[in-house]
Amino acid sequence: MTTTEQYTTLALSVKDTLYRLALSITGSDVEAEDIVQDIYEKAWRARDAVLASSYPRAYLCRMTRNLAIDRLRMRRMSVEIADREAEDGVKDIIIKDIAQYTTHIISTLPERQRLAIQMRDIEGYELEEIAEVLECDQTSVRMNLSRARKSIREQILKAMNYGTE
Amino acid sequence: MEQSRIRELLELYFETQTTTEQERQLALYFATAEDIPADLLPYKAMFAAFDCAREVKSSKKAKVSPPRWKMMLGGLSAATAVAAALLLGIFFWSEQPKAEPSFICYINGVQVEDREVAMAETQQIFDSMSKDIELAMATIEKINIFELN
Repeated sequence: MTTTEQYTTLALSVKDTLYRLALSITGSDVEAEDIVQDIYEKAWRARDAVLASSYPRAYLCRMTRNLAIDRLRMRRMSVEIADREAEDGVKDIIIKDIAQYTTHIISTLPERQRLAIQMRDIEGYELEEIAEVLECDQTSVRMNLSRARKSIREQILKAMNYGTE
Repeated sequence: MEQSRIRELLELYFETQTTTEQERQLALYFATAEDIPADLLPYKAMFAAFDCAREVKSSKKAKVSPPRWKMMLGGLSAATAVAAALLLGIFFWSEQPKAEPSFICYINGVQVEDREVAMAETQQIFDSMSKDIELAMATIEKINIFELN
């Protein structure tokens, strides 16, 4: 298999992961699709470096995360306003689907916790790979992941008690 | 899987002490078990949320490699950059004041800057002069002979 074929196989295998990662950061499906395409074009030029890295799929995820964060910074003001409106709206929602509410909880977690959950519990990545994506050590990944999981549990329990009282 | 084992794995899960395989076992249990106790239902919702999130797919067809025109444009811009650099280099080189030669001499009114060329030319002139002198001396000798006779 040639380098180009290897790279193409890798890139296609993580397409949905990159999309979900970009979506979890930007909150916009249109922008997430756009980011995936941009990452493919950038990564194509650096395909030798991608394949030579210890964790090729994590390398692509890290590129996606960085680009998504850059895009988010560019429109930070409007996103902050949208988040505030969403938080206010949650209080009025009658929780019928707790799973759907869990998705909302994940979206409100601090960035590192959210991405740790995204990469581990949704994408099934190993801790070493997540450390590569988040550009930190594994201890930090463990800490963020543990906090995120406990935070989700706490909020689900609170919401369920709220619903039954 | 036994509930006691599930509870044990959950404890480890929240401390991030589980492996990906153990986490898959937990997810499978909450996705398939029918007799889940009430106190474990929040976790069923939690793992169901992860399953739902995994179902989110990109609907747009992305191209792994850039379009051909972009690659050609990239090559063209690289070639343009090289050409521009060359032109600039030539321009600045031609604009540079020429360095003063370290050696100048004039032979028969012609400027010569190469020391070896000047030496060779000078040597040739000396040779030519010595031949002329020999010829002149021979002529003088003939004249003398003529006078003696």
